[in-house]
Amino acid sequence: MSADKKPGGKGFEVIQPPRTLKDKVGSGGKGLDPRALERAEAAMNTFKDTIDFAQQALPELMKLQVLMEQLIANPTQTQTLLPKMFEIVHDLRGQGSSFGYPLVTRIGSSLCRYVERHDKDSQAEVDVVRAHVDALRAVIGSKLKGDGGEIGQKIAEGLETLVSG
Amino acid sequence: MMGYKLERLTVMVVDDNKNMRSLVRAILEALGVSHVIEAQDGEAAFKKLKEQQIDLIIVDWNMEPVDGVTFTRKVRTDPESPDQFVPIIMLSGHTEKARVMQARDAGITEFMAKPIAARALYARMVAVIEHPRTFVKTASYFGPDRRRQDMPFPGPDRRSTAVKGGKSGKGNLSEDQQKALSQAKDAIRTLDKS
Repeated sequence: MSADKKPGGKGFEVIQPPRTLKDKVGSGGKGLDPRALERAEAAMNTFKDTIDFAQQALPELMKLQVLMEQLIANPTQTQTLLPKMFEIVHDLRGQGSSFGYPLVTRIGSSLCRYVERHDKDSQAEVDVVRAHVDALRAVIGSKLKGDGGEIGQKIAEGLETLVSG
Repeated sequence: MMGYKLERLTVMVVDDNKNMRSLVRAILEALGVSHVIEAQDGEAAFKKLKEQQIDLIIVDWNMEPVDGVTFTRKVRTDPESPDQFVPIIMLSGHTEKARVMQARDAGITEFMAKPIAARALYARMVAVIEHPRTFVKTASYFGPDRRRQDMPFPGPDRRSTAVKGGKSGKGNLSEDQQKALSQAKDAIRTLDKS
């Protein structure tokens, strides 16, 4: 290890990395460069427009539907099935807003929050999860971009109230 | 204002989703980074790290076979790691405090919550440049100094919110919940018909 080592007291050692990014890129002034930020945001928006998120999400949505059907058929299997559903929804949540579908992120967040609190098998739980999965299917299926307008707000608010109750 | 010479950097973007990699690449290139390389999981990324010098890594959490946390730990502690000090920005939808702590304990430099925003990514890069972290070696940890208290916490503490909300009452839906469920179902039906 070529780094400078400094005595760090008992049980640990403080090490100065051998090089820093600043050595390489120099000083950029204080804060973010607004012109660079503008270019980055423009590039991000241009790229978003080239991506058909609804099409891209279909395979994951189908997997989610299959798990949902299994859950409906076996409502006592939430502890096995919900973690699998969580992973899919969690990914969709991360991608939604990135590709112009913030409503998918909002619905996904609501379901993730609910699953994180999961503690028992019940029909009520299946109903709550099913409402979220149906909402994701409907929003993605109808390519409802942005906040989804009035109908999107109704869906999201209904689900959020359901989960926070 | 003189800007950073970001064109001098080689940045590796590690994500199993090709569109996510391309999105991050588009932002980086617009910021002036001219050399962006991509890897689809932690295993491929570790191989690329051994092949060339990389100045900054932006890594997703959920990937197979090797996820972002395992990859980070490997970069920091594996005897075969070619650069234990390389800055790592973790990009993840896992914003719960316990998860952020898990990533921190693996040795990440900065954490950024998904969905991706150009401003947030740029800000993390500036933080890495302007506030280089000292490293700490203990019996059980090697990585950036975790005592730094200002690591941005990327979202609400859902875990504590969940505790506050309680776990009870899920056996049956309350009247308010039934009303909310009915509202959501009606709206979904309307959307399905449109």
